[in-house]
Order: sequence, then C-alpha cells, then structure tokens
Amino acid sequence: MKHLFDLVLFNIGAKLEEDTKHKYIGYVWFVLEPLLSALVYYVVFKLILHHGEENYIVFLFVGIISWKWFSNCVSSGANSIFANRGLYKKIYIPKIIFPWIEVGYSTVKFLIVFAAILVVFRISGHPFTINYAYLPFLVFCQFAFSIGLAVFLAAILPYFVDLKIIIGFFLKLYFYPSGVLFNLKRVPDKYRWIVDYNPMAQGIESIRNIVIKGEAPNMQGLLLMLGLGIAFYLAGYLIVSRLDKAYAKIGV
Amino acid sequence: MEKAITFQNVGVFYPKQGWSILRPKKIQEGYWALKDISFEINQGDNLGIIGNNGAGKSTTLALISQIISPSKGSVATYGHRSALLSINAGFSQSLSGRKNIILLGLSLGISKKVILEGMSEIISFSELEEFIDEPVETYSSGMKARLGFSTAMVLHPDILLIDEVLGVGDRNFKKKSSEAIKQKLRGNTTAVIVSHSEQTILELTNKALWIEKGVSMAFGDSKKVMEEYIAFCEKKTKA
Repeated sequence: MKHLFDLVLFNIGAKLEEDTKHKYIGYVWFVLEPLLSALVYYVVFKLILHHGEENYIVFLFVGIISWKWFSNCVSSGANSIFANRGLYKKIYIPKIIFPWIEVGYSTVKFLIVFAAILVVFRISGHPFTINYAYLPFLVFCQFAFSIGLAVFLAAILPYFVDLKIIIGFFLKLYFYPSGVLFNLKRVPDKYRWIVDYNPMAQGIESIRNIVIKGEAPNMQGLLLMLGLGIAFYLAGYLIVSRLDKAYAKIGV
Repeated sequence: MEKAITFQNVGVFYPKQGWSILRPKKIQEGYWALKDISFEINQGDNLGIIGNNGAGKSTTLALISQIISPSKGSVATYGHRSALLSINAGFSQSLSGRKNIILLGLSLGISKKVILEGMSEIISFSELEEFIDEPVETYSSGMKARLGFSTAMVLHPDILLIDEVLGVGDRNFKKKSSEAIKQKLRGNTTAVIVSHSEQTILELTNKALWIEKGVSMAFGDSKKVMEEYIAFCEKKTKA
C-alpha cells in the first residue's frame, strides 16, 4: 500500500515536471489558460450578447477551473489504463494506479490554481466567511466523483476503445447543463430536474456560492457527488482487480 | 529443494481487440498462444526455453513475471518477483536519468529505500555518471538500454528473465553486461532464459523447456532436451 502510494506520488511529480519543463512560464499557464477561456466567454456573452451574471469574469473563472478539473480527470483518467499498455505489457503494475495518477495530477493542478485565487481574493479584500470551512469537504466530494468515474471508465475502456470518443463528446455536451456559463437560478422550472440531479451543476454552484458569495453549499448536491463517486469507484475497482492480469492480453 | 516456478497445463488466450457492444461475440475471437505447458523448476535452477518463432516463449516469460494470468491451468511463482533484464519501457522523457531510475524501480515493485541504497551502484554500472542528471530524452538508445539494464540488474528481482539478448549497449558494455549476467547465473540466482543459441542454452542453463506451437514437447536436462529439439528440427528440414 505504502509502495503504491509512493509510485502514484512519484508519477504525479514526474508529470508536473514534464508538463512545465519546456515552457517559459510553466506553472503560470495553469492560471493563465482558464483565465483566457473565461475572457473568451466574457467577450461573447457579456460584451456581445449583453448576458451574464454579476461579477461575471470571476463567476466564469471559478466555474471553468472547477469544470476543467472534472473534465481533465474524466478524459485522461478514462484513457489511462489503455494508454499505458506499452508499460504493463513489459512490467507487472497494478492497473488501479493509472487513473489515480491522472486524477491526482489534475487535482494538484486544480489546487494550485484554486489556492492562487484565494490568495488574490484575500489581497483584494474579499471577505472570507465561516462557510469557507466547507471548501475541503466540497473538494473531497468532487474528487470522489472524479476518481470514481475515472476508475470505472478506465476499467472498461481497453475492451471498448470507442468509448474514448464517446466520452469526449459526452464531456462537450455535459459542459452546458453544468452551469459553467450561467446561474442555475435562471433555469426555467420545466427544466429544473436537469440541474437538480446533476452532480457537476451542484458542485459548481456550491463552489461559487462559497467563494464568491460566502454562502453555505447545497449539501444534498455534494452528497450526491460523493455517493455516485463511491458507487462508481467500487464498481470500477472490482472490474480492475478482476481484469488486472487480463488487460495485457488484449490485442497482442 | 525449494520450488521456484510451477506451470500446470497452462494455456493463454489472447482476445482480439476492438469488440463492440453491438457485436459481443467478437470477444471470443483471438488465438491460443499457449495450449498446454507444464514444467517445474527449483530455486537456483537456470531454465532455458527453446522453440521456433511464435512457439509461445515470450508468453511464457510474461506468465512468469505475472504480467498476464493463464486462461487455463495454473502458474505458481511462490511469491518470487521476476522481471525482464532488458527493459526500456516506462521512461519519462524529460526527467533526469536519476529520477528515471527511481521511477523504474518503483514500477518494478521495489521500495524507494532500496532503490536509493542501490542508486550509486546503478549509476556506476551504467557508466552514465556525467549524464545521470540530464533528461533521458537527450540519451541515445544505447544509453537508455544501459540505464534500464543497470537498474534491473542491481535491484535484482528474485527470478531473472532474459529474452534473447544477454547484453545491451555497445561492444564493451555488451561484454560487461553479459559477463555480469553469467556471474549471477553461476551463483544461486534463479533465471529463465529464452534463446535461439544452442551454445547459450548449454553453457548457462541446467534445465530446458522445449515449446512447439504452444505445447511443451520436452522438459528436463538441458543437454537432452536440446538434442531432442535439434533432432526434431533436422527431421523437419529434410521433410
């Protein structure tokens, strides 16, 4: 167990180094990239379409980093076992570590950016309320949801590689009802169910409520994430343990 | 004598990739790389595996190193860890050689403490001292082979697996690395060697397994098995 932990940790460090090494402003991109995305949406929705929320750029930025964290975890996590076939066909490695490495890496990236925002907020005099204490729990719930989905999808993807494209499309589609671009309160009653039972919509709204407004999160939404995450993880873990030494036999 | 590896009527099925939900029957497509392999070696034995191309020699190595599980029959390695000596997979390109030693060692299932203890020996064996803190992407393929070989050699697994090539790298390093392997084999190390060279098998192994089309044809004393194999091959060329 300790050994697997070391292996995952070392690989996350290696990925961070690999990702930043050849760039002039390696770590700065972690913040700059979502900021540029936020600016694009800001120009389109606020300036051109005259739509958008109060304090829209911050609203967008928080939503985008939360969404990117999730979508990176799912897309790279789902592909992780299949992508490492060159390695596990030469050395025995417990396959469960591959989604952990990808999700761990995306999580570290998210935490760096998130910490940066909080520092900026602090400096600019934004009030920190008692509800900020919910943040670790919120991050934990979204982490659970992401690792659960990633492990489950990674477990089956090597047998059904078409899933890679389907996941890519699904993530594109799922971006919109997750409320990255708009406030969930704007959704008409007729379509409420789309966001009420939607883990990412609840997660993103909660993180914004805490960080921007200092309000308490929607606990039901967070528990929905946590519950789904645990269920997916257990199912995925069972499949991965059963097929641990079968993945290397596919398509040799 | 303590047992090291036991194979009992082992078969391995490789399914074809790319079955889809619409055609679930396709998962049954594929081929049996091994059909019926049985043998047993003890600790300290050096086993040579011989057979024609596509006989299933590398699949047998993959079973021993626990990379794959048998589709039928049983494989026991009695808790021994084994790994191929010539590894060039799993390098992280922009990381230094030193960090890649840790990465590869951890991937081989070795604890960080043991890796760090063996670090200086690995570096000196690989003769990469001046380059060890440079990123691996700047290495030549020979240097990468040396790095992988030295890591596996120094952090030696319980059972050494050798696929075809004894040594790696340029002429000098090849000589040095095959010498190092031979020295280990003469000692109490358990090893499995796949080779087409009659000389290698007779010189380095005491037992041999002859595989033909996924079935074990003969197992026992290297010299005897080799003679049978050669007789079989000669008969086939005449016919």
